Amino acid sequence: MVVEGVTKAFGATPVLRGVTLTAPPGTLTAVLGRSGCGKTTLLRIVAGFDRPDAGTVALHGRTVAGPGRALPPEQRGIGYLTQEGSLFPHLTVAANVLFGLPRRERRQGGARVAALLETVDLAPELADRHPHELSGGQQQRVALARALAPEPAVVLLDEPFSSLDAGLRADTQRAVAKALAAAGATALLVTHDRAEALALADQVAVMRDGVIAQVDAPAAIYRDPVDPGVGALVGDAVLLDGRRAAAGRVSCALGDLALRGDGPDATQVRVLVRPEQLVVGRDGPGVPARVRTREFRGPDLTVELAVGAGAEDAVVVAARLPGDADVLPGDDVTVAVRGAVTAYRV
Amino acid sequence: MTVVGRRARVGDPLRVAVASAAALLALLPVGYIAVSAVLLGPRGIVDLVWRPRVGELLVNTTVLLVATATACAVLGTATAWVTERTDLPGAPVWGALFAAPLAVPAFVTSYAWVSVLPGVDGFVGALVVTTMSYFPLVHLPVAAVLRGLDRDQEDVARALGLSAGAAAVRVVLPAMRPAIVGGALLVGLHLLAEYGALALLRYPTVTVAIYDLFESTFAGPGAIVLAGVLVVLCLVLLAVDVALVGRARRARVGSGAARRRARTPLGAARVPALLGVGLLVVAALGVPLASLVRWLLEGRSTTLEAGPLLTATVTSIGLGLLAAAVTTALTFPVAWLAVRRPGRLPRLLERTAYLGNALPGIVVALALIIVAIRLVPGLYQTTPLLITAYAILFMPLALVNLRAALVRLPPELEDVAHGLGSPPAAVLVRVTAPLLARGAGAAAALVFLAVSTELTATLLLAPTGTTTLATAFWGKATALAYGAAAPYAATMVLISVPAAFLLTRHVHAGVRT
Repeated sequence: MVVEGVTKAFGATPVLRGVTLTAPPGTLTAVLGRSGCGKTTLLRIVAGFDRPDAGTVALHGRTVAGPGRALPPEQRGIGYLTQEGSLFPHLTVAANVLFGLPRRERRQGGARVAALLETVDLAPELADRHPHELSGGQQQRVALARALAPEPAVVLLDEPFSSLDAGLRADTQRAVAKALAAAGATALLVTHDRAEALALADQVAVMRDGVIAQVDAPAAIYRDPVDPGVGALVGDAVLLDGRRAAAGRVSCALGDLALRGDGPDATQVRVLVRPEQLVVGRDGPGVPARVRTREFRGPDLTVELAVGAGAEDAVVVAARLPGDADVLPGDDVTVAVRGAVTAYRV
Repeated sequence: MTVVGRRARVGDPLRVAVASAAALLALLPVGYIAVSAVLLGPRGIVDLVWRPRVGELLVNTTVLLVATATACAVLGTATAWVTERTDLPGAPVWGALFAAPLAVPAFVTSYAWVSVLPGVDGFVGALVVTTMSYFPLVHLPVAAVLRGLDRDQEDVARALGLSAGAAAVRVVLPAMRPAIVGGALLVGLHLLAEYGALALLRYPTVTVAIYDLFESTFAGPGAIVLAGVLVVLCLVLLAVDVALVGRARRARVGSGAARRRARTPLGAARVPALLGVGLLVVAALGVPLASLVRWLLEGRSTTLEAGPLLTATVTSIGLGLLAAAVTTALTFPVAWLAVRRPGRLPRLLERTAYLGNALPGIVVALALIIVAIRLVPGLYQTTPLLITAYAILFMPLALVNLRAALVRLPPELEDVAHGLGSPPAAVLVRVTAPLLARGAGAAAALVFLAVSTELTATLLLAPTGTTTLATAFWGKATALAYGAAAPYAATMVLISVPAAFLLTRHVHAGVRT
């Protein structure tokens, strides 16, 4: 799937300002962005529900949208999964799943339905149920089975997990990822949930204000975002003002830290540290700090630390510690940084 | 993230074309009146309007309108309150009985009173008959509001130190106000359109006078100017509606789990309350039904015209089915565009299509007759012209239902079907149509039932030799052949019962029958 220079405006409001994105065949690309960034519009343009103002969309080598040319969605060979699943309420699970198949294949019925339901880990007994008799997670899986039935080369997923509650979400995500991989389809997943994007995708495209800010593998984009904004979007971030000292080193409120790569060619920089890089101890290495707040979450806890001697100009950073860490608000601790950090031109 | 807006897609031009045709049709009567007014010029209009007779008609109409609307507002609110909020014995049964008068066309109620008590006529007779016919138009929406009202609000008011009475006045009454005012204005629109009931009672309003003028001078300038006056009155009511309730109605909280809770005990007022609702049911339902039964029995002993009754029934049903199909088909694109392509043009088309809601049948009929005679003389007194009038009058009934059904149908379903390889026509057949079937069925049924009891436009437009239940009844009732009229009236009431039932669900949407 190749999207090139796609722009789109609704009235006077530009939504996409030249989006270029390539999704290699058989991989899952997550488009991650805040609501209103244009990611759903991009998905709808790829699907053919909207037309781009400029730019082209090609699916498996065939241009489906471009200057003076737009293939209607039904001829694009896509699978489309919506937020709520959008099962046809007047049809049974079986009829829903078979909906996209030619009439001849629809007649085969039973065995085909069971096979399709199995690909999404659903029991064949569900075939005769109606959508309202299913749980949210089951509905989403049926919707995926329906989308995969015609064997589309490209599957488009529009926040398909956001309406599920936390417990169901993880299970459904796993089932969907597995089924997509088994089908070998190229998938485009639009989401605002960074954990979901990082966990499911082969590559993550961060979208901001109608353009793609960065495309990379999940680990790479998390470790090495192109700017602090992308960094804060893909994960929790501690951002500090710093000063570039010697080559490969930066000094900031957390001390003198090692840089990943050479860093920018500037003296005044902005330093990005991930909370889990902070090592908090008593009389350990690093700079002194005082615990301000403590938020317990079970497996881990988050503390806010005031770094620096004077309380007035103290820099506040958040650190993630194991859930059994023995710190309380008011405690004096030391904080050090594990691993290299990233710095940006201010 | 929600969809910001959508571009036109395949199939839209056809929908826009049909929807525009529907809107133009709805605009035709008002447009014709406006053009005539311009052609007559200010002097011509003043000459025709500034007459003692017109003044008399306007006073008659306004006095009856204000009196009936007020009476219906008071009665309808009282019945809604009593059946929804007090421990009146048998409250649900009373509630159903208060909706039932809608199943009896007003001109049948009028016939029932006149034929039993020949002295009932003039203002008092008109006030009694129209109030008994129309108060359910207030009762139903107010009862719906009382049922849906979040009763926590009252509890909060009580907790803040208000007495039960004060809470009712400061919390419940404001919530009911849009429903009361909206219902009363609907009563007003019905009254402005009413011909049959008032003609039988010999109470001349503008509408009655237009019909009489038409009978004597055909579509002369006098009738046209009076029709213009009538349209202005209707528009005034609509403007009042928009100014008073438009916003409030939209802001109203929708459904919500109806929670059972304690009803206000009537105490010592229980017996008077029972007497009151009993008396009302006798007047609104008992008199018409008893009178109908009496004439049925009496007519049976003298003349039983099985043949003509059957012919008229078949004609009414046939016209009803045809009009239902045409109106629903014509309205669907309007509803679809309004829901799926929100924008200035769809909104304009939708508003225009609602115009028939406020137009009396006589105005629509008159305009169609004159336009047909000027432009396509062959159309006059043909079934297509009659069906056109029905379509203009009853498009709003279809529109409300189709719109509600479309709103409940998420657009993603159509998108998903496209994505699965179905071309637009297949999506319509396999997804949209089955899911809309109920809404479209309700739309068609309401149009069918409204057509099968329509009198005024049918009298003016029916092809020579075409007799419907309503016109056959009318011919006999005006000839004082009360016994012979009864079987036709009874058949109409039987056909109307399902309409009344359907209307109980839709009346608060502001749609006239």
